[in-house]
Amino acid sequence: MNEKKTTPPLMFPGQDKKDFYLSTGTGHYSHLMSSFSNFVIGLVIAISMGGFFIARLLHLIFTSTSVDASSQSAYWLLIIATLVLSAAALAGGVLAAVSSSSQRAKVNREEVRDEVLIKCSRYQAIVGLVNVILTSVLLALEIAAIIILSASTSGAVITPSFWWIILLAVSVLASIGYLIISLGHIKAVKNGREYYLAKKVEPISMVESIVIGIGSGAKNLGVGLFNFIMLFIKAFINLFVALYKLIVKVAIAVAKFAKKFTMTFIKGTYRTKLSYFFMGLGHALMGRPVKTILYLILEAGYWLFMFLPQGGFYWLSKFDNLGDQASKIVYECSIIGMPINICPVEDQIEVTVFMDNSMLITLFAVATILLTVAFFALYWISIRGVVKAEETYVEALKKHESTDEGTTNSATQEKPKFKSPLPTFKNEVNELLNSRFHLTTLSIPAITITVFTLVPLVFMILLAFTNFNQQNGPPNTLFTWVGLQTFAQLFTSVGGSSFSKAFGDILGWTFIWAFFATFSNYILGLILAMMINRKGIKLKKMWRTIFVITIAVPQFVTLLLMSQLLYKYGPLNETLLRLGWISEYIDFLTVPLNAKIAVILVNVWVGVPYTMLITSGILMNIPDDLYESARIDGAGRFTQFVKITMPYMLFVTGPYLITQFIGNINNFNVIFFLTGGGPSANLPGVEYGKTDILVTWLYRLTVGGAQQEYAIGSALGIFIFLISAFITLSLYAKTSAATQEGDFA
Amino acid sequence: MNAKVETKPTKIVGNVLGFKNQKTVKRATNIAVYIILAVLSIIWLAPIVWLILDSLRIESTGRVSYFIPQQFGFDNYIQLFTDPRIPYLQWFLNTFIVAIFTSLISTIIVLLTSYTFSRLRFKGRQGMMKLLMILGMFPGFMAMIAIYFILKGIGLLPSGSEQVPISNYLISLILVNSSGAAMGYLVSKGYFDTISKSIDEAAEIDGANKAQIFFKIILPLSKPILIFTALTSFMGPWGDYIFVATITRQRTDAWTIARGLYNMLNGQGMVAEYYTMFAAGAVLISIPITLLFIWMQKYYVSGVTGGAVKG
Repeated sequence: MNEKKTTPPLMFPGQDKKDFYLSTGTGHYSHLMSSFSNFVIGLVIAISMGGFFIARLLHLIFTSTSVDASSQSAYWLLIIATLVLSAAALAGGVLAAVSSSSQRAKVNREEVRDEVLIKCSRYQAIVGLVNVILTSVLLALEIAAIIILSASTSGAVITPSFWWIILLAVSVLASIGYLIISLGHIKAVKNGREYYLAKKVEPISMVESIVIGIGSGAKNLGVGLFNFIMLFIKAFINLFVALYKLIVKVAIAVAKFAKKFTMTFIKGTYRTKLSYFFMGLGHALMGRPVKTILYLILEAGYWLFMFLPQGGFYWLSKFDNLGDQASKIVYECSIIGMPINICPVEDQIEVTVFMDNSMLITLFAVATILLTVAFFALYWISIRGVVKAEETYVEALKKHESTDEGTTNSATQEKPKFKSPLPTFKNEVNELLNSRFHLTTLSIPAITITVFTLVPLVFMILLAFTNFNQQNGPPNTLFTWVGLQTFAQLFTSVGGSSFSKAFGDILGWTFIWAFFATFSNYILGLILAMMINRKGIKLKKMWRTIFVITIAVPQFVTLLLMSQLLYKYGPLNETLLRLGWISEYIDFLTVPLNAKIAVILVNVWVGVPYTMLITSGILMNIPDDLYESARIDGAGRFTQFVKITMPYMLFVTGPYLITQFIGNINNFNVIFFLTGGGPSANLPGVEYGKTDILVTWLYRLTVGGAQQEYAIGSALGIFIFLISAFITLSLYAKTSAATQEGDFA
Repeated sequence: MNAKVETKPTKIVGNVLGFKNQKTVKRATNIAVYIILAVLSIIWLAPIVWLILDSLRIESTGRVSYFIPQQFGFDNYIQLFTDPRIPYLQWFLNTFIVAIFTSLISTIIVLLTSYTFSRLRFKGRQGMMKLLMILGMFPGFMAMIAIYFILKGIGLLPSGSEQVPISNYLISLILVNSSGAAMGYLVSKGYFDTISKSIDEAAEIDGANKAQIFFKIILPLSKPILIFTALTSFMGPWGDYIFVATITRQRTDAWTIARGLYNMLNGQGMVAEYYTMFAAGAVLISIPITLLFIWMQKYYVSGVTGGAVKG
């Protein structure tokens, strides 16, 4: 006999004896349990196929009038065959269960009992395999019937049924599962037997194994759920704590800065003090006029801007109530050139002159404020620059003066000239390309970000505190600050607003959609990647390219195409109708529930190739020796998947999943192009649809629809941001990729 | 009894089922997988095939309820270029201009930003990176409404019923599309991070300043990521609907391809007449984009993932 195995197969650190038994089924009673489960599965298959075959039979008998004889007999044959098969599956399961329990009673010796168990499982496996083959054949025949029928235009001979196909497909899957379990069974018994023979370990009782199984499962589920909820609660608490700390930090920083600002002035030299009023003047007094000139130009520009008639102060003055009068009527004379005071009454015409535009006021006031902040920063930098330069300058000056005495050139009675240690302007420009290169490179991005992202964002955020909508908007009317009223309108039903109802509806659907979209794509993409990645599959590149082509086609094209495919009177419906799968047109996109399902399914079509590509890359990177050592330890393929592939994938793609989830929350394209937001919810006063997610509703509220609820749109946008930020920050910290970089074993 | 440990799971399967040759089992599974892959490929490619078929349909121009056309012809393609209501060529030109300039500006901005964050160290570096990340979490659409108002306010876009030249719209689109470029610095930064710093140090010893290092040394080394960034930002405007819809509103000759094609289906009373032309237009635009995408895949691998795989 070869060397006995003394290490248990697949014993992971921390796994105790009882878990181990359950995972490999060494305990005879757990084997009994698996037999029982096999039996149940066989039963399900038998009932489903048997039952529906009977239904089919009845349908055939009572509805077909003139049926082609040969095809009908073929169908009869198949019906009988599958009925027999289901019975066999059933029998196999019963046999296994019964024999294992009866054998246990009769036989004491463990190996013989195991041999019997293995034999029974073998029968089960064969039955399962045959089951798989026959159900697949039936499915293929059904599909063939459809194809044949769709090409002919005469009435259907045997009408295939949509539900029938679904059930067949389920039966195929169940049979496959059945087969796999039977096989795994045998495997487990063999492994376990070797192990406990070597170790002479006590098997545990049946009750114990059941209790432990249920208990540990429940415990894992409970702990997992609890951790998940605590994650969010902790993130929430952390958020408030962080906010509090931030406020304290800011307050302290502001106080400290104020102190520094005043102290620098008080303690500064004349150069410094002058620089407080004329930016950068100190530099000129130290021999660097160019810098001063540049700073002074900036200062002049700023103050010019602020004092211009339509400049900074003008906008700031109007900022408090966003305008006093939107427009006024003036009278002009229709007779050209004649002043109004001598114009006859009948020649006077009313002209509307537009005055205050609330939106422009907000916009330019924001721009002014940001500009002032930027200018102040520059101002402070200039002062600090002067102070620092002064230190070295004064230092060098002192040195020059002190060493200068006694070194007067006797020949020319001249004092050597003082050389300033400060870098010249030319030097400073060079510095910009070297140690200060980041200033140069970031200057353009900083400007574009500020103008095109920061200012608009601050503007939009402020809009959420106004009542800007169609009724209160330029150019004819003003809007003004309303504090938190807009938020209240959106989130609650204060004042009879129905926005909150729409909001609640849409929020719920957004999360459901994001969840299903993300996970369906991920899992299906992973399965697809695993299939293509299998060792025996050739032409891997070709398969991948086929799927890549579907995402290379621009998304809006495919989505618009899908919306046409699912049109109520479109080709898909028509084909289904003619095949007899449905009896009337399905409303894919105009019934809310159908539209929701359709959107998720179309998203699968659009997104699975992406996830397939990404998971492919990662799958190929899993080191093979992990699988090798698992195989040596005796792990089956399914165990390998659960214990190696899945954890590795989740580890590496954790951040990706989070990004996808957030991306789906904001996935405008799929929803918009497919349903436009979906069938209208018909809520008076609020325009929204049943497949609208937060972003599409935002679009509808502001640009796309008839209402122009900019204030509410802004509040909604802020909310979307908060959600995205919250989820990202709380989940990102938890995923392993962020915390245990290399700790994955 | 045999206590030898089985090393191949398929061997056990083979033994169980009485197959002495485990290869048969493996081959059977492989065949099953091939079948599934074939079915899935058909499902995935079918809509595209249908699109092409519909673009060649000439017996009717609206939506029909069958898949395969009865008459084939190229009329739709010809009509794309001759129908006065569909300035397809103009749309193509618009989109092309916007895409080229966006690509140019975005690439410059992104490369500068990601290089700065990757290589240079300065006060506020972490703060700025976090700020950019947070800014990126705002729905882009929100900023766009504001940008639309800003552009109206400075007169680039019309605020009343007056007409402005098309170039105004194009400039607005270029600005809108490239404004957020810096926030996408993460991928490029990752690539720069993998370039060994000893190259920088060697150059510094030789007396180069940081600007020279960037332009003369790092940039030539970054061809993959450069092309990747340029291509991705080039392909963006082709598929962008929402920005265009907000900025160009009803000005038909300033639209881009995406907006125009969308209108062919969803505009008032358009679909009955223009559905097949939509198909033709979609096919025409998909071909170059698909080719670009496939070409870009090569650089995606070497630019995004290749640099990170170290031995």
